[in-house]
Amino acid sequence: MSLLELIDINVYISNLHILRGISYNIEAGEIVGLVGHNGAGKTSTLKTIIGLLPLRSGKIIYDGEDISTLPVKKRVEKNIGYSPEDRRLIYDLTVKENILLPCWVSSSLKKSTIEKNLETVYKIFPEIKEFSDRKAKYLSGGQQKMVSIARALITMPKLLLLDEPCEGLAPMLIKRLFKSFKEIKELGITMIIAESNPSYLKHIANKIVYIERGRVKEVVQIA
Amino acid sequence: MLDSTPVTMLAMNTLIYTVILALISVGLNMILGILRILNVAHGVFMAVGAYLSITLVRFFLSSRLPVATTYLALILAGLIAGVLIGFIIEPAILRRIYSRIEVHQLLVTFALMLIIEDLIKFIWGPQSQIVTEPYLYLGVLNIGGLSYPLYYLFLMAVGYLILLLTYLILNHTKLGKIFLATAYDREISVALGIDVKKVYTYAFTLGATLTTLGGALMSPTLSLQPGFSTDYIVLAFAVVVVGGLGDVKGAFIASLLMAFARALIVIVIPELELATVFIIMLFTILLRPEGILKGRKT
Amino acid sequence: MTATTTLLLKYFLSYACLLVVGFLTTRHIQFILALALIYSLVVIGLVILIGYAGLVSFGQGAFYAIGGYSVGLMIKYFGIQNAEILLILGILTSTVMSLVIGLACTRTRRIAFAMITLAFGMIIYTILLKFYRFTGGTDGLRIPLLKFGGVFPVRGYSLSLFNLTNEYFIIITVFIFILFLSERFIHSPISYTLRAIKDAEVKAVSLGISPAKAYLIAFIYAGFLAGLAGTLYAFLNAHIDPNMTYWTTSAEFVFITILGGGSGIPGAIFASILFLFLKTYLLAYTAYYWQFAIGIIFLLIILLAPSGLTGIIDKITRSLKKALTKS
Repeated sequence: MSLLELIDINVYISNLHILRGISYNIEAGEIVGLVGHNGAGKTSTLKTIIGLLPLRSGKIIYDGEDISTLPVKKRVEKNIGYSPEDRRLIYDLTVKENILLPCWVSSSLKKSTIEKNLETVYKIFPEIKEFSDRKAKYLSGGQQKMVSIARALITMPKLLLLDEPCEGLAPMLIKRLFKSFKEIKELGITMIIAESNPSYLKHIANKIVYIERGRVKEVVQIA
Repeated sequence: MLDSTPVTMLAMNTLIYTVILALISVGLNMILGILRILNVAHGVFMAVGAYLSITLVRFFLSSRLPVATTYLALILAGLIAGVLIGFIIEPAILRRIYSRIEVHQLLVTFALMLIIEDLIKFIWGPQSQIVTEPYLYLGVLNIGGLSYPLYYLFLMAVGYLILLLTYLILNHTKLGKIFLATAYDREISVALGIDVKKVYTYAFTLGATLTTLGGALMSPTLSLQPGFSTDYIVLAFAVVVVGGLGDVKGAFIASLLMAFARALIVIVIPELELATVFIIMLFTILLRPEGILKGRKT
Repeated sequence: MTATTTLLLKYFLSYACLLVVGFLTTRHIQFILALALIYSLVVIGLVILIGYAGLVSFGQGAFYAIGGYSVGLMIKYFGIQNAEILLILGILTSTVMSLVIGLACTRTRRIAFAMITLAFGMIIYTILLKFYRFTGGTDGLRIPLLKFGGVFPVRGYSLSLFNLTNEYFIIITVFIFILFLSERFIHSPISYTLRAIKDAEVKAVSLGISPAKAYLIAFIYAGFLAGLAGTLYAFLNAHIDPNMTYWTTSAEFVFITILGGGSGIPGAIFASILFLFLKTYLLAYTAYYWQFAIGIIFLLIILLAPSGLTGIIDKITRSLKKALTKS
């Protein structure tokens, strides 16, 4: 059974047909790349999975359960993590506060688990550990991206959605991020990474879904 | 020999007026910053707090409780009024207008103001009401030839304490930081699992309670008439504009500024007392529209 | 029939309707209707500001009061009794003031605009209130009976043959003229400019359109209308007070505008008439709780029928058309 099944997803934004019959599966433990030009529907797909965009028709099956009409909060409780395009941090909060924010609203995590998770996250992104008490607005773009991913990671989700994590970053930083993606995969976390450029993804993804104008163009199995 | 009476009077008036303005405007700004709604009914919330405090004080007194307990009655009334208003109005009315255009939201809260104002008339009657026991009981203090009612010390002590508590909650607790996150970026807050619906209710209730407490604390010092709140809401608007829309710290500083300006002008050109507030508002909009502290949300 | 003829016919018919209504109704009703038409002048100005320019003014009461107090103060200090001179002076003062105030206000947008107009409205209120030796303070000023051309009183029954009161006749005549003027305004290049700006200000600027100038013209026109309304109000009501520019009055004008749908003149007129009749009868029915009734009605309308009266009228005409074409 796949971890995530998208079945014939149709999504509209202000009467514009953004996603047209998207269907594909994601297996547990995979890294799946979602590749397409700007406006192809990558962000919308991820937003639909997390629940920020409602389905006009189609089904989303997560972990055997139909979550198509489940509200966002409930989907987050089922342990789906989301790191949006453009970081979207709370810039007046410290790095640590930004990362821990999802824990504060989660009723199920114990204090000891949270501390353990935070350590794991800092191990993956040691660069931001030293900034943990600084306000997020004082960090560089690349560091902020790491905080955004760390925030999505803090609950050790089953499924992690990353929307253009490497956008606007220097190649060295991108390589650095992809190394951390490998580490995240080793934790057993399934990932969907949306990118416009597939060249780096090809090295770590299990499969790449090419999306164009709201439709799946092709699915390329890599590993 | 220095005649310090005008200075002490200036200082006292400023401090008293600041705490009253701040209690209303900080609440208004919280609601504006987090729920993005300019709540025209905020002034009449203050009236509800004031009227309820009169009822509670009278109840305490008629139950033969000592006058000292009426101070507790005032605070209790403010809290009850705020919580009731918050938990009833937010789900019943505000929730329906979050997605509407600003003019509609303004007019809905304006209609709410009309409704609540007349409800006050219905419950408490149209005549003016006053309860003086808490005010008179503390007596006066004579300094420098002027007599200061000690009630104002109680008012300021409680008022500033409430403001301090609010500041601590908003800036140093997890709840406050969740409020901040929701105010900053609603969509991502939802995606992180924040129950934005609950946040809105709590934030609105907290904002309303600050105002109702302000009304309750003020009630022993005035003869209450229905409709007195329309003057205060428009002053609160002025404070909010000067302090920066949505900026809670700015609201406090703007309250101080307006209170000081008003206290000063009253000594120099009394006719311009009320106008000062609006003139400051005017110049702020023209010269520094984001507010004096460069408020971050508009 | 040419377009001009249809247009003239429309105004002629409207005027005729108003005359007939006056002929058929009591003095009291004519008074209320006259007041409603005065309000509708202010509201038409707001329709242009809100509907066409996208600027919500919470300070039209300022010009309303300026119009009224020009009349009052001119009578008090210069002893002028000619209605026609006072009318012109009232219009002139408020139009000039709307230019001055408009220069400041039209630099702002959206909430800042609403707030700055509110500020001006309240500043004028405090001036009228505090300088009571000149303005009468909370008591306001009494306006004596004035005459047009020395013969036609602004209030009275000179036209009793037609059962028309003087005040009603004067106001509907002015009203029809303003209706004509406003429709010309709406079909003028300025209005198209405003709509272009409202949709996309940056784009309009890049096309060489000056938003500030267009906004200012709209603001002045709205101020002119409000001032005219205030002047006529002074004639009609025989009494003016600072409440004309208190923020709740300005908010009431905005309320009526949105009630009418916010974007059309017919809606503005219907909403004003509806509001004033509602307010009058509610006040008579319950002196203390009429605000509650109006508040509930408005709440329901905004929550359930957000496009206001225009929306309701549209819905009714559409379902009527459907029913008629089916058969």
